[in-house]
Amino acid sequence: MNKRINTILLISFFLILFTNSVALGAKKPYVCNWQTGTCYRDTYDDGDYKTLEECQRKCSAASTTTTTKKQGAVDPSGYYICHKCMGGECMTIDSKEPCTTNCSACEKYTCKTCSFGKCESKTFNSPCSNSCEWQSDCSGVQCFKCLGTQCKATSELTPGSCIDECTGPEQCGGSSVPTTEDPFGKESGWYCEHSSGQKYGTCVYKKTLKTTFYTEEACLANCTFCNYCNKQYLGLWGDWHCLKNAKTCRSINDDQCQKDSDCENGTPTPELPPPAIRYACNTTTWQCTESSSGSYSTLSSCQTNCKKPTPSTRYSCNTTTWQCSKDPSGPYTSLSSCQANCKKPTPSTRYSCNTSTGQCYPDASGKYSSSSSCQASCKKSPPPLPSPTCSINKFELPNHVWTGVDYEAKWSTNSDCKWGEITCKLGDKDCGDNETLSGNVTVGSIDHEKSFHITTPGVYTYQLKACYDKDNENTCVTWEDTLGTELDYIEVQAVNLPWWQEIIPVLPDKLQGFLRGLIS
Amino acid sequence: MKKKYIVVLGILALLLIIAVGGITYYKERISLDEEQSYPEPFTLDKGYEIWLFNGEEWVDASDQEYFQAYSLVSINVNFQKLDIPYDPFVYCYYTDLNEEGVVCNERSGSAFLGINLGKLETPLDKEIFKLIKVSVFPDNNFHELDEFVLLDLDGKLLIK
Repeated sequence: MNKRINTILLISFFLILFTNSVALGAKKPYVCNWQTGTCYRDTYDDGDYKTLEECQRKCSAASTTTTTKKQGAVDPSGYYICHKCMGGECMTIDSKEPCTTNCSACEKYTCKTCSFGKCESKTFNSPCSNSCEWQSDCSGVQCFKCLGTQCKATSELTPGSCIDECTGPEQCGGSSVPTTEDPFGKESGWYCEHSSGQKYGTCVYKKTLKTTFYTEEACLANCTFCNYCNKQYLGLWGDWHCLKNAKTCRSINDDQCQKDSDCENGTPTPELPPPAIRYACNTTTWQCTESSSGSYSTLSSCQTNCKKPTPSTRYSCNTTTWQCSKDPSGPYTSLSSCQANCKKPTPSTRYSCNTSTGQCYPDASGKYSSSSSCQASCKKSPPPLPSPTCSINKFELPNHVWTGVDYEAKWSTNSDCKWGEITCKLGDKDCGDNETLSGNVTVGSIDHEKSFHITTPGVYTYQLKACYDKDNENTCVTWEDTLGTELDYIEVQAVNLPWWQEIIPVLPDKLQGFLRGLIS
Repeated sequence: MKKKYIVVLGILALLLIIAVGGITYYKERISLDEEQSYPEPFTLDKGYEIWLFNGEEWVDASDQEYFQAYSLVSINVNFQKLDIPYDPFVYCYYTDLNEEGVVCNERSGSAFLGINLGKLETPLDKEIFKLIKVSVFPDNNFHELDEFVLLDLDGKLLIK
């Protein structure tokens, strides 16, 4: 009997353990990113939280900013602080629901890549891998550029002149290849799994936050590892070691070293490609000679252009005879240009009138043929009559108004103003029927007033324009604040009337007084 | 005799644990399934979004005035699309669609996208109900004169 009971209890114990592990969930698939306050789902369910809800509560509580309460405000821990990438910025959302968005789209990835022969850090929008480690990696003739959706090494004519466009197919518009995006920020793709010391890694298709490739081919191309020199420190001084199969190869046989002694002075300088032979023209001897900085890439092109120029015929003007003659140092390169300019100047025999001074002066294209005829007609013109100048003295509006309540607008101009208009803008649009002030207004020497009200809340921008002649913009003037802001508009903020002010006017007089006293 | 009772009680306890575990497991699965069908907030280029669940999918009901009782709606307010006169500010919102009263939080304008009120149910007992009213204040002193109403939307009950 005892044996039976023991067996039953033992089975019960295991059943309880099994039930708890399955039903209550031994798996904890959710992980909190404490920096962003966002929960991610772990690929192998090896997280900290059983449910997304539990994770988000803990995660958001840790990253919640100041929260205030008023009139039964909900406890801040009741909210999820979610994030969403909008316009390249990570924005916060107060959410009553578990987060369905995150800021992974805003994430930037920095990798080392070649830029003008230097190995520099560059920021990409998609995951990337370092294409160089040392400056010497960029002194070769290969440059990584996008060819279709693939990132491939291309040959450049001038060493060190290229800028890498990419480090992998991720930067080459690989979006055309379908990918399965994970709502928690991880991406599915081909990932190179590499065991230390092995020449070749294994490409596996999985979800990972690490660099992935869209195609297996791209992964395999980047899943080969080469030897490189690395300084390892033991105490203050470091020793160079040749690490075997430790860095992604950029090309086949990209090994920097084979043994530690190859790295004694740091990274061995790769052999530079033989310099291309160029030719330069010696302008003394007019002979072509080999020169690394020469302008010609071939001897024939150099010889074609490296010829002593024959001196051209030049001309000068004889200002005694007003004739053109050949002169090696003359200013004219052609006979025609010389002859066009080599003319005896004819004295001015005509006159013009200066109406400002009422005096005549010699002018080759003048209206008058003699000084006397000019003087007879030349009179000082009267000064132009001053045009009327319209100006605005005052434009006053309340800065804050309640919607539906009447207010006074005041303005005044001088007597030269004959036409006036108040314009209104609500944001970028016209105010329309939302207010009653804008439109044509009377202007003149006296103060003007107009009662108006605004029906819809918002920030309204008013301008006052007055003209002497409304069809002539030069006679118009727009009001400007002379008190320092120099703004040419007035902003009126219209807000809704509080409920108590809407209710009070419709209550009996006694109750109105009671309520006013109570509120004040 | 006593041993028999122990065995029976043990089996009963076991069944209870299995039942509780099973219920918990299925509850969690259901809640995860529901999350997947929830509309992503702030996908419309508007100051506010009202999503309505029509039985099959979530549809944009931002311009809808009439709602059936017990309709499932989701409301989001995009602060980046609204003109807020203060920064930082304290926003307060109120809706008749939940029992929380006025809820206020202090936020800074530059990095704050908005509020997602989650899944809400339209009421049966109000012909006109407050869908959402959002105001901002410059600080948490909540002076009535400083109140700036960003949004004030009413919904009406569709009576057949």
